[in-house]
Amino acid sequence: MTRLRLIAWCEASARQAFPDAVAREIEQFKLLSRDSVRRLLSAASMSRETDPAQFALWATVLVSVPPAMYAVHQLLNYSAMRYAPAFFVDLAIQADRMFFVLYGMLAAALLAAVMWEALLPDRTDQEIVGSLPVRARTLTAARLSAALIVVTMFSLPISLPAGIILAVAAPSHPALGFLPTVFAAHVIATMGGSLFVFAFLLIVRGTIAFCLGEHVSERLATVLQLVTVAALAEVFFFIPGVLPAMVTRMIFGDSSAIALPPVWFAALYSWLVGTPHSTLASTALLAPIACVSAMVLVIPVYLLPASILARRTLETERHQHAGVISTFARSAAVALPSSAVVRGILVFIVASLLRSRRHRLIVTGYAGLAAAIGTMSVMAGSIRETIALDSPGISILSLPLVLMFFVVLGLRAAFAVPTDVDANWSFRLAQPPVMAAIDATAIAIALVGMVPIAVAASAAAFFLGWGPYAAVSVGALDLLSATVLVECALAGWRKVPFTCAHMPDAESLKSRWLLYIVPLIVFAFVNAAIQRHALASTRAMFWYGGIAAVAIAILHLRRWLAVRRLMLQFDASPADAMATLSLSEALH
Amino acid sequence: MLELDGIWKSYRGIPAVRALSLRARPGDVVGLLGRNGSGKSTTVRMIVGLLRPTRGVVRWHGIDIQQQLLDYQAIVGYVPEEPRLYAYLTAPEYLELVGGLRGIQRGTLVRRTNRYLELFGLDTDRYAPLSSFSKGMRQKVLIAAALIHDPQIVVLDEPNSGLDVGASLILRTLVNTLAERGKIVIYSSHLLDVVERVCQEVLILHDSAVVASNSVRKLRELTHTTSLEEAFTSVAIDQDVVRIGREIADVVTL
Repeated sequence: MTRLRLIAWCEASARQAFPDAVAREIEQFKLLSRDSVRRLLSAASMSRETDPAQFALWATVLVSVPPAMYAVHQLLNYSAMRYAPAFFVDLAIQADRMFFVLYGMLAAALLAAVMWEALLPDRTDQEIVGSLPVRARTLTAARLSAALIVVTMFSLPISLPAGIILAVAAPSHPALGFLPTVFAAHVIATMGGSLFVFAFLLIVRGTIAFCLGEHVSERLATVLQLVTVAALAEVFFFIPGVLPAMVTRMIFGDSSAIALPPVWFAALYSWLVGTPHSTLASTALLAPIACVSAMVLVIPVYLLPASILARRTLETERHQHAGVISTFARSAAVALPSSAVVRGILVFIVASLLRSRRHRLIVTGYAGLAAAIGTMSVMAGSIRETIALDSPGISILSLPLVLMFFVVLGLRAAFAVPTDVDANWSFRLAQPPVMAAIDATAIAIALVGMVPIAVAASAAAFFLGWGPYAAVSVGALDLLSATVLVECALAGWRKVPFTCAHMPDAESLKSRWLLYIVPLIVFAFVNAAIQRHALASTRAMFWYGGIAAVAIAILHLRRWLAVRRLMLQFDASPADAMATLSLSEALH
Repeated sequence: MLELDGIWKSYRGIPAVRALSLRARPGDVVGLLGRNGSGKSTTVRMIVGLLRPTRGVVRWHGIDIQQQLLDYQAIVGYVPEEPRLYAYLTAPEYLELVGGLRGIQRGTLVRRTNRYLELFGLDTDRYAPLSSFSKGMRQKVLIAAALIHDPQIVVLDEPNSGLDVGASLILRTLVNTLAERGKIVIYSSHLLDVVERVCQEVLILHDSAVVASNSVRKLRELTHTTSLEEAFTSVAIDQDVVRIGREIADVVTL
């Protein structure tokens, strides 16, 4: 009752304090902000069938677990360092702080990448709200505030658990700081870093949309996601090597280190906890300045051009550019000696993939992981000094194979998510043969993913001076390996890509990814070692090609036998995660 | 009075609407007729203030609507051609969002929302997201959203799209009732028989320009025809429809 009275009093006060027009705009802003949060979550969820709230919950859990686990791990380490010298503990904790700050910043960047298209009101928003008495700036301000709410809600679970765990660890050693200060410093530094990155990317988004248009902005989203996924994965591998080096430079006030934003927030963290390094104070000051500047700057960047962007969105006609890969795939589809059904499905797959941002982002996420693992492989090779660019080595040969492995998985995952499930009636009605659908899927994977990677691998081998024979051979071996991989990946596939209803499978998210580690090692690294031997002699090359060809033929035959009497699948099969002990069947 | 004074709209220099003029008084139902791409929807979007004319002005009570856009949009209800809605909202949530943005008091809004859902037969689907709605159901939600604030101007762009026969008949009565109550109704449609029955004035657009503008009766007299369909065909169809229909059927023999 008291609460209701308080709300009524606040509303009455607000009505008196503001003129009617302003009060109405505030009310509109509140309504649109609430709706914008859902709009952003809906844009972030990869499938239209996915419940945005469930997706947001699972994604947040997934992203927040690694720092919490790392904090638990370090809690044990700090306990063991009880009697270690202060400088040693200080160096370790500085690197850890840098990790938490960097992780939070990359997670915020990833969030911006997946919500990219909805960060500004789009055509649908303008169509719905444009005819209502709502200012364009109100809608844009609501979207901006919703974006900041979402990043805060996303960053809190990343920051809080680790903050609590590190605070608990603080009494282990005087160098770790005072318990409540550690907690506050952790939250301020990591959240500050996340908000800075997010606000900075919002500024980039707004500026690009205004200056260069939506098309360029959309392209940038793909690149941004690739970079952030790769960087997120790599940050774990960099902990032992790069972070201590960065910390040392930070402590000694190295100008190259001070130019990096994570260093500002790590310095702020240490300064808040209390540090013996006086040089950190000036670096720490950069963090709040950067964060506040970004937060202040994003407001005019978003609001000033709001009405111009709204009008432009409504007046610009949408064009679908075919793109180079699409044109290549269409030409290849026509040139291939396949049936009309296969060609038709193939063109549909390529066009759908290249024109659906959601699906491109799924593949980009997998490619980002490939980039991270590939970079790590090269770095490990260079640290061990086993990498040689002038002749085929395992580290270099494994790069295209790693990329192929993840691209195949990514494409398979993207194909399982429908573009518009209600539009699949044309396929339901035509009922193309399952074998044709799988053949088209395999060709699409080859054209979009495998051939460009194999060509790039050949080109790279040629420019590295391996000679034309080795360059062509590398591409050919990669293509043969990829064909075997595609046949394996499509085992059990019974769909036309993008047409089957999709039920998100939480099990894949939680544990099934572990099952891919062995195949990745075999396909990318063991296979690279075999390829190195194959490239050494013509006889070995023929053996490699012969075994691959036999494997492809067997897998193809097996697939044909498995699907020849089956119909295409259009409805989602129940997710494994929902499987119970089937006790309900006892009721029948 | 709503007045469109020689309005033009061009996209990259290509005119979508040319020199269109129109006057509508309270109680008038004005029909917009034309083939696909003739400029109907562009005209409608300029009337509701979504697009700004390249040339000419839209006036409400003698003042350019661009000078009073928010006040003007507060008295306009609009049913767009494409049923664009936030698909993750339920029908009551959507109506409450639109009503809230229009500043309707909460109690009134809930009462109106419930009544609309009941009358449109959407009561049982009040907890379903709009993504699960059929085209006709979405159209009903859009009609409710266009009327919820008691607008003085109602702009309907293909309102019959997806509606069943019963709902179409209800819509016809609704339009007549709104006109009787002094609202201006702009009715853009392909359905000539519906336009003939509900509209007093008709504008026929062809190639982005108005080729005929008059009352339905006058149009029939001027074109020496007995129905609006014949009148429309005589002024806006420059194709041999019979020949093209036969040729389409013959394509499969190629």
